[in-house]
Amino acid sequence: MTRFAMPHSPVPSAHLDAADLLASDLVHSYGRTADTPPALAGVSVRIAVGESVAVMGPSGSGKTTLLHVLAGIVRPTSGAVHWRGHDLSRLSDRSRAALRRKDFGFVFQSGQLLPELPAEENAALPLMLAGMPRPDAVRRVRAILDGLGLQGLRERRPGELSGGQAQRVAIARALATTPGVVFADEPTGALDQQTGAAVMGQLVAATRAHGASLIVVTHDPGVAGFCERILVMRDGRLVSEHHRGTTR
Amino acid sequence: MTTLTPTVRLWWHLGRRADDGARLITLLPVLAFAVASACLLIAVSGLVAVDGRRVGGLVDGPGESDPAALYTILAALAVGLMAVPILTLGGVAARLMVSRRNHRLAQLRLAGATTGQATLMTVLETTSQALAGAGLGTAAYLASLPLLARIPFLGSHLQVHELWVGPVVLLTSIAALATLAALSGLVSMATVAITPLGVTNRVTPARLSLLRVGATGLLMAAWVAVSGGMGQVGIGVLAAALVAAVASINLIGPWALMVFGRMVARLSRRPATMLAARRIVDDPRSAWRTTSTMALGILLATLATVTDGIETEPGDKLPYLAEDMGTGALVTLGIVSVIAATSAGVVQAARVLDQAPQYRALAYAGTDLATLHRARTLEVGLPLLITMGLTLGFSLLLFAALASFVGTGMLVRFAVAVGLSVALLFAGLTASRGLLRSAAALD
Repeated sequence: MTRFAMPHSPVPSAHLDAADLLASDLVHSYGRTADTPPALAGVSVRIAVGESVAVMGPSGSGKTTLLHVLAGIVRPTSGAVHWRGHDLSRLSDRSRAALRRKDFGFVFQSGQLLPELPAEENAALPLMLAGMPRPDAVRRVRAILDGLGLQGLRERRPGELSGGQAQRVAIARALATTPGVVFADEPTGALDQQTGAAVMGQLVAATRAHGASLIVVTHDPGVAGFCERILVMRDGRLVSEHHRGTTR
Repeated sequence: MTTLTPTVRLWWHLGRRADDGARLITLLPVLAFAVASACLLIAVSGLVAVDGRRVGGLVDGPGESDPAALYTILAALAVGLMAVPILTLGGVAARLMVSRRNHRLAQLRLAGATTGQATLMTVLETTSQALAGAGLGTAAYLASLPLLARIPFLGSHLQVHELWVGPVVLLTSIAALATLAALSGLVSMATVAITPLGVTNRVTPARLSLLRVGATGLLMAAWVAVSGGMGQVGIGVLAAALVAAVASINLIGPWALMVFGRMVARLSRRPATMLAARRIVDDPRSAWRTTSTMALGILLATLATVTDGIETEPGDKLPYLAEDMGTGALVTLGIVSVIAATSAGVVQAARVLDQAPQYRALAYAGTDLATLHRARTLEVGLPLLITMGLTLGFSLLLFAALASFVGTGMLVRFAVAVGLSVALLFAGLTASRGLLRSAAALD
């Protein structure tokens, strides 16, 4: 476990679990020139099983880049991301895609649902992509959709749903494969405050009920307040950490 | 005038400020207009060449009545048949342009632009792109003249000067495309003009009417009754039947696609099949527009096959008619194949551009590109199956009287012609693969 020592981390490395998502000393640069500041400048973080974590910070602080690197969407320039015995930064694109399909769920601000598919097929899509036949996949997501209060709306298309309902379908889709971690990037950014709070509450509750960890990138303290831990970033670094009710 | 100048200036300014993505969106309709224009001019040039030879006495003997008028009628028929997919392609281009602009125009309306200003900008935009496409199409037509002159006709090659349509036809075709674009722009503007927030959402599509099936049944019954009463089927009657078949197939085609799409979507087990089927059900008319051109192509390939089997007798007034009909049908097949391929490529490219955020979200979730490519291929392949099934059925019904002339060699030629046409269609689709790759790119 000590091999995951995090020199820049504000997070203690004690009580590591093999099922945790663990990032060590992540550096990532988009720029081609040496004087371009890195989007991530040595970030280390551990997300425990079933934990909900919000990542906050001003625009350009590196929140979304951190989410993409943790999820294996982007390979970091240096550093490592460990998940269930794999170092994501060393896996091929194909292996990372397969891992994302199997182990991770995603919720974005909006626009991720395919407009031609009814809600239940949109939610069932990850299961089908993993090889499950359509009837079985649809049957499985119906319970999740119902749990999110979408009874009677399963046959509707995204264009026939409100913003909050569409985000609930996106949550159902993210949870369909029983992922280990759900990554959410500004999941309530396109919703009004009241709907956003309701959706966020359901996202946290449903993720916990499925035993998954949750990582939410947001600029909204109200949204972050739903999570057990809040990480604050600035200039590509984690600058502070707050647990619900405490500050460090 | 006071409104006109700032509107034109704003339109020009916005055009200059377009980014790469917006430029690509502009290029797609221009490409479609260019192909439509070139195909229209090539089709008309065939008619002009045939009519010129008839008037010049190359077909007809002196003192005879005018059996060669049949040549002109058949050439005009070919142009008429091709006009439908050509204008459809022009319509696809115009719709594509306007749908991509609706959002921006809605924003302009919100920013205070009047309905008149937004309409004027739309018309300027669609017309200018149609004119650019027509210009390119005219250049392509001129460049293709030496190639067209290699086609054998009436026992000798056509001459380049025979295929020259003249300035009047040239300008008329350009004006026709520009008018089509302007009208499409005006019609499509209705949603934006009614309300500044006229953003369309995808909703459960309405079922197409069963009346389509009834009307097709009536047309088929009429053909069976008429052809059954005739001892010998003349070429003119066959040509009329061809027109009726095209009309019938276009009536029933979208309905058949809708039913087939619903069935496949319900029974599908794999995501690519489900996605493709749902997209077909979402807009069966649009799916049909791409493959309906292939229906015409297959009917023409059938015509070319059966006419090849007709033997001329000594002293026949039109000794080359059967051979020339076969050649004409193959040339027409070539043109409609290019139109179908362009339509498939442009429609699919536009869809990728429209759905780039969804493709990226799927890629984030680990969807491999092969699944997305497979869905797009099936989206064209499934309607094509229905189209081929329907068209072959109609062909059997139409040309059954001539079936005894058809030999194995002709069937092979038929299969090759249709196979090449289908290959061209998928080549058009493949051309947009790069766009999908960049739309689903993660970095």
